[in-house]
Amino acid sequence: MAIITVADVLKMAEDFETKLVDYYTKIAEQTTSDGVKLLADYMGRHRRHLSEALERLGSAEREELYSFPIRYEPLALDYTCLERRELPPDATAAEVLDIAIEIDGCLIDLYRQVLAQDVDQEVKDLFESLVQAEEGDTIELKKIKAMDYF
Amino acid sequence: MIFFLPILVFAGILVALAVVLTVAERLLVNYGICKIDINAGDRVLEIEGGQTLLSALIESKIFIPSGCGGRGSCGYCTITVVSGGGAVLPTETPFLTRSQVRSGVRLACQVKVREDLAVRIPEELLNVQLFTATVENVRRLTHDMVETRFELKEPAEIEQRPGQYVQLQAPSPEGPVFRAYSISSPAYATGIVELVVRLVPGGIGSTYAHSLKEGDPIALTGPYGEFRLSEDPDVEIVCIGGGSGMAPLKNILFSVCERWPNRKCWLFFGCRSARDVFYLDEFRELAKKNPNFRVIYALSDHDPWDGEWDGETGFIHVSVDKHLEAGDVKRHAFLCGPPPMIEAVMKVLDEKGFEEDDIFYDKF
Amino acid sequence: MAEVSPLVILVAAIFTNNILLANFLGMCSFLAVSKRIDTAAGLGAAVIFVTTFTTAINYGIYHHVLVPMGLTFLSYIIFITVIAAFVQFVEMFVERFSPVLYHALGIFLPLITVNCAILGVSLFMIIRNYTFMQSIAFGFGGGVGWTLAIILIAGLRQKMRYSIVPVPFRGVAIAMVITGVMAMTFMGFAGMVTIQ
Repeated sequence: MAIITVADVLKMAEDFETKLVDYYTKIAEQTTSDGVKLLADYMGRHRRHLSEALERLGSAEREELYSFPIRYEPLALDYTCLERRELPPDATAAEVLDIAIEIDGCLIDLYRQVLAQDVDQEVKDLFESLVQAEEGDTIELKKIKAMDYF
Repeated sequence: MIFFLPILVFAGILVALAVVLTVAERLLVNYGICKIDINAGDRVLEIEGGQTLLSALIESKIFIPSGCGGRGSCGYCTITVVSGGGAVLPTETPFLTRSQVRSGVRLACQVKVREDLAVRIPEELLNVQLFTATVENVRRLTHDMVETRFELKEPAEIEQRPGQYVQLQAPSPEGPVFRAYSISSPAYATGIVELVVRLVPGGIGSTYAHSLKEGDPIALTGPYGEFRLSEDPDVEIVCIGGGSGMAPLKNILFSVCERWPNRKCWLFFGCRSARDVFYLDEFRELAKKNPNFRVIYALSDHDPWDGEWDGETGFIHVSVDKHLEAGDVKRHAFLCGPPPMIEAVMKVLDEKGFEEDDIFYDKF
Repeated sequence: MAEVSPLVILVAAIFTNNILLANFLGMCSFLAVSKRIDTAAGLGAAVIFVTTFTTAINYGIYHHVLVPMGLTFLSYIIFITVIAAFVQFVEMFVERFSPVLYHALGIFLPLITVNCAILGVSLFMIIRNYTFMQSIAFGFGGGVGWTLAIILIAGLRQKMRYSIVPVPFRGVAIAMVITGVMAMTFMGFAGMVTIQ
């Protein structure tokens, strides 16, 4: 078991989001389907929930939050979900959407694990707003999928 | 007698405590009649204190949009509180940005009315009413879309502008919730409200809308939305939709063609395959009446096995690019569809010389 | 007990005869709310307020109503009723004047009703035959002692989040253990003052 800080968790999520953006950009470049291109292009530009949530805080508040300790151990916090994810380069539109929904679920899971620990109200607020953003995103993705346009 | 004394004493003490508590409740919990001042004296409500601002407003027939029914989980019921209302509660902060907090935006369902309040409510919302209606007709448009028409009962008429939406009350395990849907019936049909709903698997609102049968009673509030159609007949109307983003466009086009039979308007609509096409016949019929109305449907994933297709193929923004000529005509565009489609179309419209202010959109 | 100064009783109630650590009363809300210092302090403040006033009210009822009428056996049920009514009152009061505190305390405010430490303080007052001033001191001290204990434990539990606790001990179990250790430490105060 180890102690990490909020900053570490956020860094992890952010790295993952960066990886995702790269992935979507790559798909948009490689794919032969216009629909996937459109979709991946769009999703690559709309994966900034984290920085948006952090921008809402003042810089002093942010510093204080960052140093808040979080317990890291397989039982308490597990982000292998993000690391394990294989991103196929030749996905169809429906597959891309499915992956995106799954990834949102993964991030929600990660944030929820932080929330399950005893954390300060401010940390709680931040992670709750992140969960909310991702949940909103999931609903939007599901709607896009249901619209069956791509 | 000896047995009665303890009972009497005990009862006496209980009564005394009850009296004290009742008096305390009078003084502490009873906030008396509080005044809610709307838009600096436009309207002043006098309501019983102690309830939430949202329920106080609903009681006074002012319907603030609210999705979750006052549990503080949707964040739609934002309202500007100018004075009174106390501090922002922890339950509100996740839904409000810093600048919103600074300018006094609150969630109406979390603000308790304990004193006189002054609030600002957009003029539009003051006209919103609660309607009861029955399902008059259900029509299946595609394999997962229905058109549901409601006959309004109380009040019997709705005054809506094309592009506005209503909130349909749907049951959920946690009590009634509201879901927003654009009105697809034209503004001149005041006795009905028609919605076009695509089934979202697991969605509360769309599952409910799809379960409705003729004669079912329903409740809805509306109309909401600030969109205003240009009244200038020289302004061309360009409607672009995709997937299931049809309802507001249908309302706009039918209303426009009724009022200005020769006004120039366009409909671009993108679907995946022939089985997803709907309303094409209705629009062709409308085009016969208005020679200046052009209908263009495009299939992005046309399968030749589905039969002949005389429309466009490819994504809709490509068709827009192809058919709409750049020029200095004054045009307004109304977009409805999934966000990636809207972005793609916006780019095309920008190249065609549309001003940003002339493009209106509704994601979904 | 008339000869003991209220001040001594106050100190004793806080340290040597701490209602929580010496008598182990009020354990349920103590375990439930001792995870964070700020909520613990909020609940503690409410407990101090309620114990002080309910001892005063109960003193009046006991000595001026129950004793003259020979109905002292009614004291339990009446004390409970008084405490319940008073908590109701405090709830209304807090909601009116501090919505934020009301929100923070949430369910714990009504939970005070069933906090046995409060009933315990009232009953000790009778058993030990305190005078009015002594009762007030004891009520206030009892509340302060309870608050002190819950804040100390909350501080420990907050730190404990980052220590290795064997799985079967996690949560309430380890909290009980440290409460026991804390109780023993408080025995170190024993020689300071004595009340029975």
